[in-house]
Amino acid sequence: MEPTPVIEPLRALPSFSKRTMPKRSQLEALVALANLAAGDASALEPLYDLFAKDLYGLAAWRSGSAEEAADVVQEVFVRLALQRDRLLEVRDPRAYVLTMGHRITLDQARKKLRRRTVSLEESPALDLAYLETDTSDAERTVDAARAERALSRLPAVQREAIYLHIFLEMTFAAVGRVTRVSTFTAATRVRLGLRRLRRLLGVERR
Amino acid sequence: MKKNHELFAGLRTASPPDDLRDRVLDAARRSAEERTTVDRHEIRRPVGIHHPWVWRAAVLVLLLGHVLVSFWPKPRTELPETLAVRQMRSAEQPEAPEAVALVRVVPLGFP
Repeated sequence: MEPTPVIEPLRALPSFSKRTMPKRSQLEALVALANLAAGDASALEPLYDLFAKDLYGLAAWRSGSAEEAADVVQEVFVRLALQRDRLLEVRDPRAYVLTMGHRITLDQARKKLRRRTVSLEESPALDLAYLETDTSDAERTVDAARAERALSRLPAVQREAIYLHIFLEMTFAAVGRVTRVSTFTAATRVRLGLRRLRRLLGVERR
Repeated sequence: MKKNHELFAGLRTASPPDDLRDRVLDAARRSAEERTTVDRHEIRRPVGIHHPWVWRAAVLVLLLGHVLVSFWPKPRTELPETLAVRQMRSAEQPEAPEAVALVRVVPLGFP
């Protein structure tokens, strides 16, 4: 039987993510989730196009490994395909997907610790995947390399909070929602992380 | 002297590799298809048992055992008609009448 696409009546879109995600994209994501919930597997494609980059970035910044980040993205989409029943209740698709990515990254880190192959602190130094460098610009390449080295010395929670706040331009409340901590804790992580980063990079705040 | 956002000015976060899209979508589609063919009852049933007859026989044996235990006549134990209750005495000591003699207490100045 051909699955029937269902468009859930749109609820009020949450305000905390409209800062970076246009309403049109939010609408597309909600429609794709509704179609996926109705059994239309082709809805995975627009979801990938909308969220894969953010997800990959989050996992890479948390784990420091490009390989692990790719695994996290795959696992998130597999879970989306499997947990279709819950998708109609999603109000903020971006926060939902990022929260899922955050949890899977944590699970992977715990598994790794259990296996005791490599510690959490060691992993970022092995395979850095935080930033892309523009090789045509020598100055930027140096900047990126320095920033990556400095980032790898930050605790994973601070790195993750900085990524969500600076690169995805999420509010502290949204960062807290994704990482399952209070707004205050999220803000503190960002502030302390940036302060430490400045110290490591040797730059002053204006 | 830089603002927070300027710390990463000109730098981009790493993008997912190009081949990841197909890999992810294939895996997700496969999972979605598997999910549609296996329903909740199928998951709960022990599909891993290679000999379904063993499973059925085990259920039958348990049912039969339950029926036997429930309806099998139980042996009755006869109760004695009378029960001898031993009288307990307190070391056969005679009561001391003096000990219970009442003493009237009258306060001073009371008629």
